[in-house]
Amino acid sequence: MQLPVLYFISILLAGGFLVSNPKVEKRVDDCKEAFEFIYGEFEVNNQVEICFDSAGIPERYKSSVNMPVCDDTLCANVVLKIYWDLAGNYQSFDTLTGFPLTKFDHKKFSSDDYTKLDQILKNRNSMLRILKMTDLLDKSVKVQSKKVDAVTGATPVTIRKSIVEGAVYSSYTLWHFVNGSIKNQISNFTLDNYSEEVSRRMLLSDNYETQLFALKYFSEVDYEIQSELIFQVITQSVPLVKANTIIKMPLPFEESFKNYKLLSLFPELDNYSKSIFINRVLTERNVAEEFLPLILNHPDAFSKKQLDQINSAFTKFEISKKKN
Amino acid sequence: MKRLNIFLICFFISSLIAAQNSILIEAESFKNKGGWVVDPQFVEQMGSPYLLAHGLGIPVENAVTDIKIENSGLYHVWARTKNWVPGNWEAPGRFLISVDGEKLENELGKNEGWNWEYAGKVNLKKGKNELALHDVTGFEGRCDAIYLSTINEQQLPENLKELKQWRAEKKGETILPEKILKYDFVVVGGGIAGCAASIAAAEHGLKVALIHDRPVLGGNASSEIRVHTLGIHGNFERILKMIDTEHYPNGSAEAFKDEEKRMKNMRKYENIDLFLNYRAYATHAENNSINSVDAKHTSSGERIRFEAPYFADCTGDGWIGYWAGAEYSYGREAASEYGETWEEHGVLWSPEIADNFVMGSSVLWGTENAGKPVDFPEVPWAMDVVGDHSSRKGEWFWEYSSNDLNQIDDAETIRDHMFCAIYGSFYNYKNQIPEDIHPDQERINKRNNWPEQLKADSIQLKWVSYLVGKRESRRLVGDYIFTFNDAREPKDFKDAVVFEKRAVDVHYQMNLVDENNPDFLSEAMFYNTKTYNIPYRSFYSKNINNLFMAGRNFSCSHIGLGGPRVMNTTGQMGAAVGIAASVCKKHQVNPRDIYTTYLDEYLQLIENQK
Repeated sequence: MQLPVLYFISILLAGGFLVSNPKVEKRVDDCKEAFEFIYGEFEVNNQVEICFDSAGIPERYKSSVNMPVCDDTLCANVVLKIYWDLAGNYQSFDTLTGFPLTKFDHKKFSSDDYTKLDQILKNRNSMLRILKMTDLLDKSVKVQSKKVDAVTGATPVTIRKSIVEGAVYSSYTLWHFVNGSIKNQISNFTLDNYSEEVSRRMLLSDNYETQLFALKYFSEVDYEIQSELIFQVITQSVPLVKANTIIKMPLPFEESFKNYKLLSLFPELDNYSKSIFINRVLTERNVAEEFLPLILNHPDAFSKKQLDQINSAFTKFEISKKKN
Repeated sequence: MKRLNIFLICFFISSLIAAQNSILIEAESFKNKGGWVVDPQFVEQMGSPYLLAHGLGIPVENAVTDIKIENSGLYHVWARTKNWVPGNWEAPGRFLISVDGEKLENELGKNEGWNWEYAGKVNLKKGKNELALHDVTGFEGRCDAIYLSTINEQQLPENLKELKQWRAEKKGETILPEKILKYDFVVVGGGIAGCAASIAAAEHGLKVALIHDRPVLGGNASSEIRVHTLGIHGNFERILKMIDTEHYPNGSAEAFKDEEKRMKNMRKYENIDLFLNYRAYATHAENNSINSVDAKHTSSGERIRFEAPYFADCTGDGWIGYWAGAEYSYGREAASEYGETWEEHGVLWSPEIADNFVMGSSVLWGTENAGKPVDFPEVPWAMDVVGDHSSRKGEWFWEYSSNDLNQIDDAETIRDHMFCAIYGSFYNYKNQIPEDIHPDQERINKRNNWPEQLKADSIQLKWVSYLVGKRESRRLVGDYIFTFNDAREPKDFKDAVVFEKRAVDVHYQMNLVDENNPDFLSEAMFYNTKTYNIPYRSFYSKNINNLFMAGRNFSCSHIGLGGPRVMNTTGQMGAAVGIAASVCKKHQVNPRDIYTTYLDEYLQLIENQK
């Protein structure tokens, strides 16, 4: 790409002439420069900004990218504004006016293509993680371009779900960019600017990885002081987060009403979280002594196998089966 | 004292009468099994192989056998069975017993957990009587044994230990198996690892016994489970080509073709004796060495003792090592134990504290177009498991694991959960309702003419496995424990014998991160690697001197298993073990001595056999 064009694009980016992806909410961010990120493969420099909500609390990160994604002449540069959350997990992207994403032979992305790309970029388990660029095209099947005198390979069937058809390199490059080392740089920047408000925002995120990140930096004292927040996390998170919260929380709480409250959540909990909790009851005497009598108030919350384990804990720790 | 004597005499007489007027019939020994299949997967948990009415919703043909009665009279009849999905619905696996064509009054398979259920009473004539099992539902009814007795007030044994002893008494079993056979090398488990171990050992001159509890070889790659073999062939391409599979879709009937090849090739070896349908049930070890393994025929009950200087545990579940007292591990280690953290996936990859949430088991299945509308019955007992999930076929990601369930001890629960998942999802597929259906049309139950429904109307179940395809269970501990780090930063082991370049691939249950998913679907996480190698020291037991292991029960961590658990790789392990056994025999030494003293000779043999 020629320098004047890059210059023009950078002006567009700076001016915020954006067109929203249909999936993305249109809004004006209060952002400031965070750090510079160099995407090694294309030696593209990207300024990453941190954005704040109306209360001035960090909310997300954004970066404008303009990068080549092809090894041939059959597709245009990708020009996008990309957003990550505070833990560096990809959130969404916007296109810029006049710079739609394109596929093979410069065909514009359809609305479905944008939606699919967004889903692909959100999939942290994508096959793209383990594929090499050379795996992306089946060179034995040639596809002739109608616009330029060139041929390229077909997309192997096995990876079709992981890419936008006709935009294999864009899918691949963007996935590795948004899920690559930039994630760590963002999370490190967040840690450097960590606060109770940031921690709270991350714990109540709808991204389980972001929640787990925040849990990692939640101190033992925090659990006691912010027990209501933790109960909220347990109530509204996916099982992986619930279970890991139960693994990490110092138990029992010093104030007994908190122990009651915790156990009152159990009827609605998933099996994994219950199982993790029972494991603590079985292996930690002080947890058993506090919670075993309380468990008797919630017998329907546990499976038959779990109740058998609970009964064995009564015996193991010689605790009387008297209801509290 | 006098009263005690009278009591003992009475007890003796009553025992004698009871013995003369009672008969225990093992269901798996029925002469004609009709459409029932022998299921020996859960012997260690419930006590015996049993007959399973695996009819995919259509009642199977009767199983029939003759019984010989010494004294005619009125007999009470019980069956050991279970309701495999207890709940507020009619038990799905119901069946009846008939004697000489007369059906007994009670349907069976209705109580929770394995138990003796009373079928009714019947007059039996002296001599030959015909006993039959009548499946009522086609949905996995199961019968372990039938007991007939002239006495009604009996408390039949439910406790496994008592049951085992009672069974042995009723059948007049002696402690010593009927046959004792001697071999150079006994391989237990006829999956790809066991087959490769047998071939390699046989090619190097050993007389080999291969004991396998199914009628066909291949384990997860057999036509009974139908997973294709993955991974590279390493140093053993020639051997593995005899027993591997094409890359067919998992669950495909193409597995039969590869199985035919495998069976044919295995039978070519004159010094491999195949003991198909024999399940090992005990080892005899002293001074940390195994002297023999006992195995029992899964239908006839015939028992054989196999004596040998060397054994290979290729059972997958590590039974031989477990019985012999070998060190083993189970579950997911804490990430810190071997330093197996991978930040990309955090606790999904490796937990902060050790737990039991291992990779799960799969039960594969498939459907076909019948070319005409076919019904599928309602399966209310499956709906709690599936919710509104709908599907017409299974794949590798139909996988079930739970932190509460052990892949060995709870294998029957896991398999049955997958039955619910399959039948429920297929029922939903057959009864899809289009989103735009008019409420009136739904109310009057008018048949929909939308294309998907028309297609679903003609789809029927073609095949559902009843065998649990396990990924992970016990891992026997060797002199070296292979971990994620050995794949992440490949080492140059001087005793490298198995090679792999496949990504480390570890699964988790999808509902952990998205509760909209049912609990029987999984997702894979991949860590890309360079070619890595596994040392020979991971293939023999640390504390049982003459025990090798190959297959998923080799010496590794939970994450270490993630890459080499696929069957071409486990086949490499088997072949490596088979050759090592030949060096052991030549020098009259134990597996560890190959590493310490005969490594060059061993590695040269591996080179020579390519």
